[in-house]
Amino acid sequence: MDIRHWDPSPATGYRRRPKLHPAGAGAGISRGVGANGTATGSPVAFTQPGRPASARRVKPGLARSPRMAVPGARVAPPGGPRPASGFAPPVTAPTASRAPSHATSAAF
Amino acid sequence: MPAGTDCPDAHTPAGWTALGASVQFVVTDPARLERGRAMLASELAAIDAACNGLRPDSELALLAGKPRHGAGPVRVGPLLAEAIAAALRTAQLTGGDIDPTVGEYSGPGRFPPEAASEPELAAFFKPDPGWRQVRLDVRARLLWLPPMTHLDLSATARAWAVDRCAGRLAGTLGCGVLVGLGGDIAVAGQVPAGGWRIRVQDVAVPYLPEPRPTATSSPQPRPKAVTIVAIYDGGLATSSRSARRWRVDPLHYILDPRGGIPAAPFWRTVSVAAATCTFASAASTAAMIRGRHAKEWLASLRLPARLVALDGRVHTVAGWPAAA
Repeated sequence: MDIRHWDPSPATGYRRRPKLHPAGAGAGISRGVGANGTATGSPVAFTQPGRPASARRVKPGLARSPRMAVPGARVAPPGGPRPASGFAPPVTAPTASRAPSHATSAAF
Repeated sequence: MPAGTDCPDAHTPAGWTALGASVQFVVTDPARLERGRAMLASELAAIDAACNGLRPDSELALLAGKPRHGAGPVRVGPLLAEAIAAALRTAQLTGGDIDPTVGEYSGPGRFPPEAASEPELAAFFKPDPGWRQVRLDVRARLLWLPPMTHLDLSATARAWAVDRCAGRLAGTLGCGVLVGLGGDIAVAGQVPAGGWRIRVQDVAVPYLPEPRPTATSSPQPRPKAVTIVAIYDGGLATSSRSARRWRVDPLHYILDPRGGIPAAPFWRTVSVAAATCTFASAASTAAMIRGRHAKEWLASLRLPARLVALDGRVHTVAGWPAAA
C-alpha cells in the first residue's frame, strides 16, 4: 500500500475496517474507551499490540489501518531524508564521449 | 551542426578575456554567432567593469576605497549587487568554505611577495572577518560591509557570469549556447546532438598520446590528464591546486576561510557538473578545501564529479562516467 496516496474512496478498495477490540485489550483501535477502561472521548490509534492506550489521537473516520497516515502527510523517501543542501544536480548526468570537444574546462 | 564542432573554440577570438580568464563561446546555429558574440562581449565588458577585483577601476575595487562611516550601507550597481548576492549564496551553500570576505588577501598588492619565506607567508594570512557579517539588500542595492573588510568575488563571479550570459543569450538568440570563462562553463537552450562535449583537463599533467608497448617494455599506467564528457544542461567547473599556485609548495591559491591560509592539498583537480555553473564551481572549489571528505560530500549532494588525487588516481562519484 502506498500510504502517501491513501484514498478512502471505494474505488481504491480500502474499505476494510479494523477490528474494534474490547476495552483494555490494548491492541489495534479502541473507540471511546481507553485501555484502562476509562472513557477517552475520541478514537485512539496505536500501532503496537500490548502498548497502553497512550498513542496519538486521530480524526474519526481515518482510523482504517494501524499503518494509516493522514492524507497529505510527508513521508521520508527510501534511504532516509535527503540533506537540504541547496545544491542541485544536472537534469541529465554527464556521459562519456569520444567526439571532438566544443570547449575546455581546465583548472584556472 | 554546432559552430566549433570540428575545431574547438574556432569562433572564439584568441586573447578574448574577461574577469581574468579566457572566453569560450559556442552556438548551435552558426548564423547567429556574430550577433551572439557581440552581445556576449557587451555583457562581459559590463560584468568585468563591475566585478573584476583585479582592475583598479572596477566598481568592486573602488568599493574598497569608499569611506564607510559606522554601519551605514553603500549603494552598488545592479551587476555588482547580483554578483555579491551569488557570492553570499555560495558561502551559505558551502557552509563558509567559499567566503567572499577573504578579499583582504587578494587584489593588486595584496598577495604576499614572491620571495616570502614560509614563516612570512604564515604571518601574512590571518582569519577573515566572515561572510555572515556582510548584509546585502539586492532590491535596494544596498551593501553593509564591516570595517576593514574587502570582498573578493573571484571564486564565484566567473561561474555566475557564464550562467547569466548563457541564459540570456539562449533566450535572445533562440538557439543553444555555451559560454565558458576559464574552467567554468554554462550551457543553455538547444542541446546539440550528443550533448555539449567538454574537454576536462588536468593542467598538472601535459597531454600526451598513450605510449605503445614495445618488445622490451610494457606500458606503465599513467594518470589520464584529459577526458571528454558530454553535458546536456547546467554547467561544469574545474578547480585545481595545479594552477596559479604560489612559489612555495604546497601553498596554492585556494584559501581555507577558517584559517585564512591555503587549503591543505589532497586533490589535484576536481571537476563537478551541476544544474548551474555556480553550483558546479562552488562544489568543486569546496571539494578542494574539504580534502579527504570531499568525495562523500559530493556523493551526498548527488553532484556528478571527477576527482584526481595527488598521486593521479581518478575517482568518480554520483553518475560521472567511470570511463571518463
